[in-house]
Amino acid sequence: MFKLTSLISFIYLFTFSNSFAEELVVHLNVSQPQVNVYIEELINIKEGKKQEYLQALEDVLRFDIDNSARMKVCAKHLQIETLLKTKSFKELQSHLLWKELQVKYLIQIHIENKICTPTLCSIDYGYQKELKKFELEGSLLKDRKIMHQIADLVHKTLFNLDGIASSEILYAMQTKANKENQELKYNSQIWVCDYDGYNARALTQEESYCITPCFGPNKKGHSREFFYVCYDRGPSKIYISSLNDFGEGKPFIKLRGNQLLPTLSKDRSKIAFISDASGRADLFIQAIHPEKGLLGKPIQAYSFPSSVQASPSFSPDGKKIAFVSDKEKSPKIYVIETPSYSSSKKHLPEALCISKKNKENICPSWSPDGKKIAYSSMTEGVRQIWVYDFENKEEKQLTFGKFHKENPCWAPSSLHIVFNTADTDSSDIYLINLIDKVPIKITSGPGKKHYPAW
Amino acid sequence: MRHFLVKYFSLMVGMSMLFSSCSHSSGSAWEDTKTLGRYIQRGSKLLFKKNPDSKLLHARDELTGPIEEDFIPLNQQELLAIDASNFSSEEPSLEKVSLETPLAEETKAPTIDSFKKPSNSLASIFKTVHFNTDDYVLRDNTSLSVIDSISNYMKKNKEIYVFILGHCDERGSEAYNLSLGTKRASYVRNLLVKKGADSAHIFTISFGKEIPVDASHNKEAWAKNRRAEFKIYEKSSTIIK
Repeated sequence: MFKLTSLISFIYLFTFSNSFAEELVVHLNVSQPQVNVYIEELINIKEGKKQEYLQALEDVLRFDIDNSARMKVCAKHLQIETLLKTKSFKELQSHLLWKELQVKYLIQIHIENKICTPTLCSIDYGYQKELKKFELEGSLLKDRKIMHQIADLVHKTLFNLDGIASSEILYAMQTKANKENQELKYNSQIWVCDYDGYNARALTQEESYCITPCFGPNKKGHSREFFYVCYDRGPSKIYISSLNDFGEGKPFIKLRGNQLLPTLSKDRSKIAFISDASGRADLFIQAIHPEKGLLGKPIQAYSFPSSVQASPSFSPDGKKIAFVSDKEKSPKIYVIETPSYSSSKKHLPEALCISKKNKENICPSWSPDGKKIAYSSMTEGVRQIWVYDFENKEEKQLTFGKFHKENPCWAPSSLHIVFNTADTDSSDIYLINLIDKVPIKITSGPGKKHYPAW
Repeated sequence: MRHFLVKYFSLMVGMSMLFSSCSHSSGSAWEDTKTLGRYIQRGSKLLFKKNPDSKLLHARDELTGPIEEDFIPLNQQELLAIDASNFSSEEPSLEKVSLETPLAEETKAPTIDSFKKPSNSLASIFKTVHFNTDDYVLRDNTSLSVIDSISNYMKKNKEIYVFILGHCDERGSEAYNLSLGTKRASYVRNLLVKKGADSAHIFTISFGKEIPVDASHNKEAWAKNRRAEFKIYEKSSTIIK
């Protein structure tokens, strides 16, 4: 199958490459092995010398491409760098070094008078494409984002899929309370950072305790919404805010008691959460109108005597919900049909258990492509991230090593997962992709960072 | 025939008086009828229960029915059937969370900021109670006697408001523990209501394992952290000891 798709790609490229000499219309098969990319050293043409600043930007781009899961960056090669400084790509295209290093694409970034112009070159077919012009601001924190955009442009050009480099991650950070006489010894706020952990900033400024954030879907022309749980009024309530609201969150769900662990359906038509309004820790659904807000009353979606429900996650089409229940003593991952509002009395839905390998399974997160569920599972005494694949109905372990790992959440790519370690010595956010399977720590410094959401 | 009609008419009038005397509206009459159904079912079910305490009927909702459902519930009969067939339920009859967070203006009740940890003599009544690992039921006599003391105190001091804070130890996962803490706090609340405390004066919070009282990593610390704490508000002038 792989050979057949490669052959089709090759015939396609061979036939059309001449007519599209200046356009990279090739969309590589996403299931192919990772593509080797060479990034030319960033040089400011006018000054003609390498600066620390440019090196930092180059590092950002290298990180982005290297962690895209579909591409791998080749190590810097002295001879190639020397050749690229004296000759054009056309002159170097047939150089044997490319084959030796198995490089398929070259990324060149020319910077002149703060204007940054990335060009993507195909070694095999000899064509090159100028992607877009960007204006650098001279601030590393801001210009990092331009490197992220370039990485995503390269990804889109080669695979016709959105990259993750420009995306952001929400999380909660717990710190010790400043005031000595404060009733709570700890404070917790919602933070946001770039997908690589940089540009971290607090989104909430509550005196109270805020946890478990989740993004609402992107809406064009609007600042992105997010939901979180806040203890401002005593019992935990779900709040809504947006990235530009600077801590002005408002209560969202009208329901007595505690509301916990919110998650939104992809089309923003429903929010699922845990509430004790019934006297138990049950799963609830609330319908949402895109403009008007709440639609009707919340529905008690799942309950079971003497059990605790937790951590709901919608399937991408919103028709199913994965969640945790300890109805069979040990917490496991179950899937139910999302209840509808069509009848007033709801029957207890049939819950299908999907986590069978290990004893303690928690925090399910449904991948945006609908094919997998990531969750945390007790494995030889340590909580590790596992992935359940709906296609072959298999559970596979993704992480290893010490430190409990919890709260996995998928990137829009369905290839990357963010999670947090949950030990006293380590409570930070990590990024991992399904291809490399190497966790990368993206947060540092004091404070307990947890409940990441993409 | 006439005698029969008089008897029949008297019976109808009597029945209509009986059913209308306590009802406020057709809606609440229906709720009462519904609740009666629940009560009958619960009564028959309880014959087979091991927990003798659950035979008591103290929860206000069981007699009056909920004032107004603010969510669309699952079919309670199905849940009760599962409960009866699978469990010797140890949870007291479910007491719905009756009030929103107290708001000073609307209910003349205090806001969350007014609630403090019990101090002085009240600290000996509102003691922290502890749970077994991964359990939401209070099993030791010490904790149960604390619940007795608190409920007695609340019955005497009608102006007191209580927040129950459910906590867990560090060994469970963060998200699951948030739910488990809710369950623990709700259990304590239900126990207090069963023993006569006013359900409208008791609120619950779960912090999961977010706020440990002992940050050590040993059995003693875990036992201390699996707890339900109390925060109270009461007008000092009304205290009866």
